[in-house]
Amino acid sequence: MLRKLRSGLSAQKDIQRRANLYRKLLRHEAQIGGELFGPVQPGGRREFFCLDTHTWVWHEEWIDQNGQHQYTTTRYDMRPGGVVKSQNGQYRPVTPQEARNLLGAIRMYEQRVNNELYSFAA
Amino acid sequence: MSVAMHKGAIEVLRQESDPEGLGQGRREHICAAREVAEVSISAELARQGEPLVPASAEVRQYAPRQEFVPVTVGVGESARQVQDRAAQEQHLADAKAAVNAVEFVPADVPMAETQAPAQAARPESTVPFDAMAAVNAYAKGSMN
Repeated sequence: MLRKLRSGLSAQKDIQRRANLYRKLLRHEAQIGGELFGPVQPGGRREFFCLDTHTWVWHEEWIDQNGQHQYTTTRYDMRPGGVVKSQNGQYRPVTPQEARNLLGAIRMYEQRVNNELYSFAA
Repeated sequence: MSVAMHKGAIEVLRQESDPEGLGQGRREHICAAREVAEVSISAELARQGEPLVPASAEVRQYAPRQEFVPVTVGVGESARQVQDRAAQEQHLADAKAAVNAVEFVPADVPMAETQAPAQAARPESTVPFDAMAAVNAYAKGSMN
């Protein structure tokens, strides 16, 4: 019975370890994604990442002119007929230039993430 | 989360050669997401009347053969001379047609020039959607 208990605990530890590793990888991807768009203003933060097969997220934080911390999260949902953009919970139109830039960013993201993180993966 | 901790995660995967397939799985996932995005963005641009041009630069050259180019026969010219002249004029006509028919499909904007997606006016209200919480929930869900 002790043996069963030990193996159960060990399996749980492995699952936890794997989950932590996965989260760290996602966070690193988000950081790489944020670097694709040029410098971030001091005190700010930018992340861009692939949330799932149909969703890309851009998250930006900054200090406004009043010294207040602000943030915007933009979510791009990829649908068969087009792209649905929501920003801080509100739907907004996607301009053609923005759509092109987004596609370029996604391609760069894949390239950089594969080169910098997953080049060892088969 | 610090860069050092992220680098630690990569080192772990690298040293262990990704035995659990996390890296490979994520790579495939991103590839699939990129493919989906290409379809959606193409559809979006087509819907807005600005279809996407092909990604790679191509130069397609058409060299349609001109129809018969009439050649006048000079007095005293031998058949051989007329034939040579006809071949030369046909060749010139073909070359002109090829130049006029060249099509150039521009390449993608170079990587260094990619600009940030246009931002709408920054709202003042606070937000329900927390990107990191979504990532965490996703990561947790994908491990089950």
